[in-house]
Amino acid sequence: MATLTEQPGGPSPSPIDPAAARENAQRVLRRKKITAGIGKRIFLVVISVIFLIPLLWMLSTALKSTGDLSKVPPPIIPQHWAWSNFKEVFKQLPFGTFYLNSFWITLLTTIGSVASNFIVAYGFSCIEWRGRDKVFYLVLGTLFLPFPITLIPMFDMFARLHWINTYLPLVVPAFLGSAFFTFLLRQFLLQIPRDNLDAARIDGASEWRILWQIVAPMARPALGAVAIFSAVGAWNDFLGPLIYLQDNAHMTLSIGIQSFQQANGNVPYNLLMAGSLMIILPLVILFFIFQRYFIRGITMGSFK
Amino acid sequence: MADTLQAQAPSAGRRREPRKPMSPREKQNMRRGLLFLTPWAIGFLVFIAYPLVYSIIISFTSYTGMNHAKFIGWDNYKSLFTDPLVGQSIGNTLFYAVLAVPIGLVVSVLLALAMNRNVKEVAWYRTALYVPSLVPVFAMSFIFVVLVNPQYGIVNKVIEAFGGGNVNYLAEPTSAKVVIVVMAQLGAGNAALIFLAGLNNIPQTLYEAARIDGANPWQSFTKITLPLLTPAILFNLITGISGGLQVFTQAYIMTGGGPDNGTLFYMYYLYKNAFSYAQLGFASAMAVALFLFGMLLALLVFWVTRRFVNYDASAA
Amino acid sequence: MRRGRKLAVGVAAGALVLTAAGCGTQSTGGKTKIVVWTQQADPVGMAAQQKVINWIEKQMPNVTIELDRKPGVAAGDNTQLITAVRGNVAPDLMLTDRFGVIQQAALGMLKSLTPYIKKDEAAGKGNVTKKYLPFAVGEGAWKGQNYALPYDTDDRALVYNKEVLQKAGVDISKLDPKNGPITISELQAMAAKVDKKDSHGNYTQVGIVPWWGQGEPATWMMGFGAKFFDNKTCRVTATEPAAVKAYTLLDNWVSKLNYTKLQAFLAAYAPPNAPPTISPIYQNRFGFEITGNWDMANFKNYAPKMKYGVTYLPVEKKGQPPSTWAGGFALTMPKGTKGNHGQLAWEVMKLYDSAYGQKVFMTATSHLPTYTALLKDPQVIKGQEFFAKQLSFARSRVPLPIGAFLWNDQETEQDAVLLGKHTPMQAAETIQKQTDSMLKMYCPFKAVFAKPAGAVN
Repeated sequence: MATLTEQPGGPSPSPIDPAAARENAQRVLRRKKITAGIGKRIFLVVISVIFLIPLLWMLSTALKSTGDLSKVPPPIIPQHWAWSNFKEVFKQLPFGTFYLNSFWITLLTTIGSVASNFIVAYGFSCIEWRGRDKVFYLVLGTLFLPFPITLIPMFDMFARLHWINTYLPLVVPAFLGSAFFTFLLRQFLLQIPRDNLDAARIDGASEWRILWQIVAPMARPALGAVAIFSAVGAWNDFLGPLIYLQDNAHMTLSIGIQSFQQANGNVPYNLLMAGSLMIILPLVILFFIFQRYFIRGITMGSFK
Repeated sequence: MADTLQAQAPSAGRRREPRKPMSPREKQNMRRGLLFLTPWAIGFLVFIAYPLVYSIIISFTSYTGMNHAKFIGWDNYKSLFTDPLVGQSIGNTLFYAVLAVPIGLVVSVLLALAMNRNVKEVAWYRTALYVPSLVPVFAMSFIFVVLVNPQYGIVNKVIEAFGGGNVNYLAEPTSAKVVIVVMAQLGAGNAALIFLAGLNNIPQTLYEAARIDGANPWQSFTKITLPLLTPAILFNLITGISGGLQVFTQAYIMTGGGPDNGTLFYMYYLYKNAFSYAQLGFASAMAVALFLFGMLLALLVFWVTRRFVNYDASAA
Repeated sequence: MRRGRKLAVGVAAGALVLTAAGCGTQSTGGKTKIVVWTQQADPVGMAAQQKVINWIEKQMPNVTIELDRKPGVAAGDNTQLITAVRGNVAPDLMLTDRFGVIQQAALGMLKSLTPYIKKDEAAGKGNVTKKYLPFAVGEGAWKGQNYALPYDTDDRALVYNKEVLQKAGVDISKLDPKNGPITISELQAMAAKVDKKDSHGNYTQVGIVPWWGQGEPATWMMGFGAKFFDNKTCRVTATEPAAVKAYTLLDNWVSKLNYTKLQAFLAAYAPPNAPPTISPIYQNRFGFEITGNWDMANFKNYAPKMKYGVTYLPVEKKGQPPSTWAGGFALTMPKGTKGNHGQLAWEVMKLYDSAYGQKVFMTATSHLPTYTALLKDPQVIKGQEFFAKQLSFARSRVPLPIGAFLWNDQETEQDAVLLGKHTPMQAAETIQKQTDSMLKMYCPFKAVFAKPAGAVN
């Protein structure tokens, strides 16, 4: 193990001509790279396809006409491409309103989660103070508080505050930290070399400034994960909007889509899947854009 | 390896030291630390402590949610031991958690490694692997029922290729639980994302150094990647246990707890007691028990693994 | 630092947006707003209800009505209502599954309608509950008070695919309702002729799966004349002979079939949550099935070429009268509403559930009305004539505050019997034990055993 820490450029163990050996090695490396590239890709494509099966099935169902739907087994490729199903969803449900409501809730929740949990996690990791880890055990413990039990006291409280049928019960808690995200960020912030922070402190930087200017760029992948999780969580949340948002004008996508389930259990599959696809589409695009944050760009210790 | 790891364990707040008065510097740090904790402290008091105290009080009463709560002492806690469905739901939950947590860890590490491959079009693979985590469970349960269809479901086609097949896995209590475990793996993208973030924290120089030392990829993985991924592993392990013990939604939407209570998970039974059977007192007792058990388990895991968890990449 | 301040400003702006969004619910123009939650939240049902609401608003110019979708989450799940009532933000009216009304009433979540009914009577307007099918009214009665006006209803029958049966050599003339109900053993004999397997032993066609669809334990138990509840002891009569007989029937039936293969067959051709467009009976996979009136519209839409017949559910012995049971939805008045509009809400409720209100909704959705006079309207019961006629002898499930719990228990124990984990008696005893402990909090009370409607059309 100790050898691993040795720096590159050490004495070469090879007794043969160094120049020839280098060239030879490069050729081998190049050939390896090409084959590895293909091997890598085959594997990646295969598992990607496996994970895309649900989505492909959604798409094929969303494009099926009622006639295609009633075939057993269902045809994988629709025989009549019923693009009108997407229009039909908008016709049957006020999807525009749903989108807007979900958008606001998701946006505010995400901002709140990232900001509050980052600040709290900083307090749990980048500043050293007595009793810190013991307080952190409390955070861990709260991961195990079953949600059904918080529903009633929380609802009573929000009702007394006259917050029912507003976004506040869904959004405000996000600004006050969550055990899951605090724990997640703490795990990453603890990995930031102490020396960087101490150097900045000696230079007279305030903790607040260290937080945003030094730690935040280094914690980008973790912050990205928090942003994605809280956005997806808020977008797909079911129980919260169900009980806190009462009227149609405030209804979100995740509740609205359930309206396709009729009282006697019948479901128009094609519309349900067309609607579901439209629900996840913004998330897919968002993820595609934000996955850039998960790159190895920021090497530890490159910051002063 | 073990030596280096132990030597690397961060010292602050981790060793028992005799209590001594704090220096002004320590006092200042404490003030600062607590200041940063303010949002959490408010949230903790309002969203955790208040409901928790409320449930503890309610757990000693007979309460429907609408009537006046009647104090009944330890009766609800005694019922935890006499109600056969509590036992059954615990069994189901442990069965699920014991399978789902380790499988989930392995699958998500593999996904993260895939998401981290150094190819130009990696964004597409990442998105593909993450997409199932974006589908609402409500829609996913409809999809999954089709995937496990004995006649034309893809899962069965695969199993048929290995000689099995044409079985309705959702119709038998044990296999129904296994189906839910498998379904959970489609959502492994979440844990994988955390591992991916962890992988990106590992300095490339370490791998370069290892390659020069002649380490093969497997050695690099076990000696660099895994040790430096331990903070993320610990996180995914504890939140995986938390999620496993509180598994609820899939059963609620897909199986309704059946067949023969085979997917009646603890959380689902708790929820039913609270909101379908108007047994809020009993549900609260269930919740308090789960909370205590989960917290102890988490602390145990935390304590047992602390020496293996390596937060210091630069020292590796 | 600057970044932090920007964030704070953004948050404050967000909060403003939030509060602004929250203020849209006040009543305007001196009109009173009545809020209605509906669990019939599918697009067709919503449109029909909105049409009725527009009509009500014309009749009551001082009222505006807001109709909110509340897609049903799961049977017996009271989360939404319980929190809303406690928080004094409950709706004025709610259209909900009638089966859950008694529990909600027993828990104190609903206002009694009896004072309004009495006031109407004193004013010479008559008793509105007399206009509806008596068993459906009974489903909303608890401790001598009415808590619900019945809305739609449904009932169950035996449906058969003529082509499948004829190909299998079954004499379908026996199935003509004119001959009265067939017996269970006749059904078993006919069904056995239909069963077909492929070379691997997998079913390709099945006569009937007796527990599938509406072949619920309760359906068979009622057929055997189960009472379900004893008012004297305030206990569920889970071990009564009729209930045990139902489980024994299923136990014997399944032993003649291959349960695992049958489940595989069902999952293939009738997966749970299947779209209404695929049903084993359309694909000539079933000879018989037990289903309800709502499926007639599906048959018409998705299997227009299928030749099918409808007859009574089978009986134990030749010559016994037919039986079936009916469910449906109801209108209730939750407690803990925002405003105190009880009387206005009552007037709206009566119009919502009036002959016109029911006619619009039932015709649009192909449900059956509980408004007795409408059962004579050929336009309303079109395509469901047989089921409408059955309402003269249909029973409702005995309304109990633990109705949903008992129902779940019966289903779970049915699984246990079919899987061979419990004998019929063990299943019954398990139900007995669990319901006994669950009933403790509600006893004593007297359940209402409502009589069938008698000739209604």
